[in-house]
Amino acid sequence: MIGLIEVLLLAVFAGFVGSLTGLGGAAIITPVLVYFDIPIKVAIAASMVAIIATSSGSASSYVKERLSNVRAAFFLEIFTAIGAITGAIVTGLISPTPLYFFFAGTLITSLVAIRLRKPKAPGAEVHQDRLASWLRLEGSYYDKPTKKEVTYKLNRPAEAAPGMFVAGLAAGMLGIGGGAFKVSVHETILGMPSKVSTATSNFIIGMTALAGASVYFSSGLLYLDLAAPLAIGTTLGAMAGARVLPNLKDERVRSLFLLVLVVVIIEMLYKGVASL
Amino acid sequence: MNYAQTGSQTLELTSQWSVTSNNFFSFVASGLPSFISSPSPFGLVALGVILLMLTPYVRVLVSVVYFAKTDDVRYLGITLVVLAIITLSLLYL
Repeated sequence: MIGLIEVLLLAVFAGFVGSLTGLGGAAIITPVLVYFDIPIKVAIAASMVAIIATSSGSASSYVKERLSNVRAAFFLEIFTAIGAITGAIVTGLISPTPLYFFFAGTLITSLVAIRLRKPKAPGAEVHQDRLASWLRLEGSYYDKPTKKEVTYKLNRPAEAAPGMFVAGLAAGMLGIGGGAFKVSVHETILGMPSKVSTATSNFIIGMTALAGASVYFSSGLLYLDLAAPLAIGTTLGAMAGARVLPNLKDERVRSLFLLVLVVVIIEMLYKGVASL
Repeated sequence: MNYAQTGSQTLELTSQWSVTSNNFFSFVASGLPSFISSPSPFGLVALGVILLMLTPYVRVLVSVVYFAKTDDVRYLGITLVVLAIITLSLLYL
């Protein structure tokens, strides 16, 4: 079993990395807790509280910095929340084994897609489709490292919707992978700048985690002596991360995300093989 | 958390720390009055976790009000849909 100090340290680290990558930190917390002999479902339930803490610890300053695209976040959250609820309902009914491989495969695809994606030339005009312009999916923020105002337009929201449903499904069923999926969809389909992608994901993941959370209140899997120190630690880590992100270059944010994405893919494959 | 009683820092994950409630709102509804009438370590920690878990919910509520005030009908609709989905999940899931 794990001690209080270790949980706090783990949580601060996970909150910090989570807020910088938009991944919520469950992908870091869950395997460490499992390593310390905590049952996986108990670890996932506690991670869910940690995801909400990461989201809340960073969301306010990301909105203040205009890094979160609030409009895109709410449009996408419709599909993610439905996915999370669906995932929570079917989790007891169907075997998760094929899902682990499905998610690992999809994340590998998006890993390659994000690696190959070339940054747009400055001033290049994006021709939004009708839904994107109806939803006014655009924004601007002040980029501290380059000292420039960055304006961007997003595209193809209708194609992002099913991707976000799958992201919610991952969050609700497996407890990890939701954030990785979201950030991948943001970058490869909508065309978000990396920082906006991270900040918008952080805005969304708290709501998604909450939508899938009720299951844990009736299941008796949520232990507050584990969840509370995780929540405190991730909040502190996320607040620190939120102060760092605006000062990082987009490429750095993307590299960090890709690094953590590799960890998530390995975890997915490992769990998939272990559940065979 | 048995640190206070025994000095041990190991998290025991005993049933006294586990949450059993029908759904989130009933957890809130039963947790708050019992904590106020008889404060306990579990009640205090539960209160903190409840407040934390309410933050994303409040985020949606505030956004609904914001889009209503700015007469943004499209996004008022979208945020109301999100609010409905999350509320239903917290009540019935």
